[in-house]
Amino acid sequence: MMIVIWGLVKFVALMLIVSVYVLFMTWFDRKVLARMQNRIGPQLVGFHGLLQPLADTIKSFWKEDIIPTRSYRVMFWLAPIITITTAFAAAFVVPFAPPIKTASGVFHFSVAHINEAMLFVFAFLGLSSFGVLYAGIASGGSKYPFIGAQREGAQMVSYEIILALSLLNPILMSQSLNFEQIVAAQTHHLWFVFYQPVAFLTFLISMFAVSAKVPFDLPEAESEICCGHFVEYSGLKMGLYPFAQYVVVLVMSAIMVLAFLGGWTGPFWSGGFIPGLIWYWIKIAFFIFLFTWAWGTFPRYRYDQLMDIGWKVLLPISVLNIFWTGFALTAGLPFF
Amino acid sequence: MSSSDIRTVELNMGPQHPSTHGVLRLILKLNGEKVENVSPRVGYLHRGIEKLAENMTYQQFTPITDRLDYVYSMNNNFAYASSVEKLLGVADQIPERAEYIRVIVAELDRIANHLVWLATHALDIGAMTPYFYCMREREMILDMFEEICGARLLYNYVRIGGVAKDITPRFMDMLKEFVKIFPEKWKEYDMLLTKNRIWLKRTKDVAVISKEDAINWGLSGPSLRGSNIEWDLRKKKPYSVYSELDFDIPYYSEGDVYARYLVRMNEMLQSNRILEQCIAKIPDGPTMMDDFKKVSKPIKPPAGEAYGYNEVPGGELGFYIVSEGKNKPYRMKIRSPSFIHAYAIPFAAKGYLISDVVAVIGSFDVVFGECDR
Repeated sequence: MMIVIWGLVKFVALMLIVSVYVLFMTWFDRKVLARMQNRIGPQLVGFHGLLQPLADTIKSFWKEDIIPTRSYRVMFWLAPIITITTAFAAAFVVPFAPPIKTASGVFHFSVAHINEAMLFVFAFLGLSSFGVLYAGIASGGSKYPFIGAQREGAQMVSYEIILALSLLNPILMSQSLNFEQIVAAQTHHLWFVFYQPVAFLTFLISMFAVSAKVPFDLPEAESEICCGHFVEYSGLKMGLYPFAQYVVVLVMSAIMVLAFLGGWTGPFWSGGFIPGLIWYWIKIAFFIFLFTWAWGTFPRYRYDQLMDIGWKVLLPISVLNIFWTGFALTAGLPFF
Repeated sequence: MSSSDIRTVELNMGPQHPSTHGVLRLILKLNGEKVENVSPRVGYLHRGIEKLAENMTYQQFTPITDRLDYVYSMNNNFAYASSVEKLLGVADQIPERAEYIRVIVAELDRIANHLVWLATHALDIGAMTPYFYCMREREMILDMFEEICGARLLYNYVRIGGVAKDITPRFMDMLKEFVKIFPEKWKEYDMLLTKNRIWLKRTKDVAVISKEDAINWGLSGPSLRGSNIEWDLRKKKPYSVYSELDFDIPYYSEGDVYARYLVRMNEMLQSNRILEQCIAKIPDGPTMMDDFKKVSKPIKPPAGEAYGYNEVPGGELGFYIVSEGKNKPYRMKIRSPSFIHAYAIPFAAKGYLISDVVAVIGSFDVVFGECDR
């Protein structure tokens, strides 16, 4: 009974935290971009525009919800729901704070503390592309959404593989799919980024591709295919796509920190003055900032170039890297 | 129905599309992402400007030329004024100060146009930040134009016989300030794009136009100079006071989108050089020929024809005017670079990807006010 109640409490807490995070993430994105571009950004609603996201949400509630007559209604409704649900589901297993030891055991700050957490995240990130594919098909022969969905499908298939292959290295080294144990393994060793710089880089690149952010924002390239899969959407339904994208960005940043940068452990020189929770969120915030930074700096890759990078460069490198890790672990090389 | 018909999809790109720069409509035949055929449809902004000219006096038509390519209105005024002056045979009697002012505003406008081009071209290829950097400097130029003629977009400043008003001392101060800081600001755009790996991948070897094709398709201006042809009317057929000014013609041999990008980027610096010299050389004196001071006084050119051309930022803008000796032209043909460039898009974009079509449109810098007229 206690497990169910705690599960529900955590579930509600996670939904709230993530929703609030997304709201203020939009503010942060706009503000940082504005600073990079000699602008001010949101300024009028609230202190430095902090309430702008709330105003935007209210506005999107009142927008007319248009469903094209030629669309497949059920799929058209289902598509944003799938996207947002899978994105949240992926966030369920991600710990939001270091575990606490209590009298009755260890308290975990993730909705579901399961041993196969990493697999779970992959499964739901993979599924989230279905929402976009559905949106493309459900728009009823509208061509821009269809091209966008095509691009999303191809991009996800290519880059999920690289994502998984680069995460296989920390998994092999820690012998676990559980995030907390992966972090624990990094307290024994150094952070995995020092053992696996190549996997770190391949993950970094595929992170951008999987969350469809600049320079890999091809599924929604607004200057080419006018925002791709959400051309036919409006109002709140359209808002759910960027919402889900921000959740995916959070999940990817968290996985990055957990798998390569030692999660809530501080660097060895920090000496434990700053609690793990703060280290954890500083690192996550850095990667979230990285997404915005790239947005303000890079142009967009072309479709064929994206595929070339994935299949011709990153995939062979990742596979070779796994061989190397396996060899190093079996041979028992120093520090491994 | 053959198998290739089943595989291809027809996609309407435009007239409402973020990167067709106005109201260009392209019908793309797609095989997957690959563009098998492009056919442009123009005319969504047709206002019958050539016909309007036949029903207006020569002075009345000057503000209409603003509406050709609204991004470089000053150059349009300049080209029209010099065409009519050619027809009247007074081209060598324009006061020298007026000629210098014309060159100053034309070159400022060239920079302003290239800034808009760079901003939108970068935005099309996905880089957002250069847009705001470019608009920041364009704002300075628009402020200067506001200072001399009160308008920020459609100036009606260069008139037949000279310019509407003399420039103010404040304008000169602003100009000196601008000329001083612009090369530094230019470096910011350069830093963001020129050596950027993704930018290079998106623009190099895309839409390569050979020297022969460039001439056969009638390209002009920076689009022509990207294909290894050193041709600039300001240098090869000097008009106004360009023969007294020292500047280079940037041209590149690759013929791809990147070459056209480099041409325009370097042209901005050359324009800045011209401005520097103009500040030093500008003489005192009248700014309008006495005959033309009254706008209401009709101009009656002798019967005959004249073709006046100017090197505007987009290419060669020409006015071919036929006069019957009345106060209105019998016929006026406008040779607009955008129209010709719009018809080069299908040839240049065929066989590349959707993303490249966007890059190609950007690299020609077509504006539809001028193309559709």
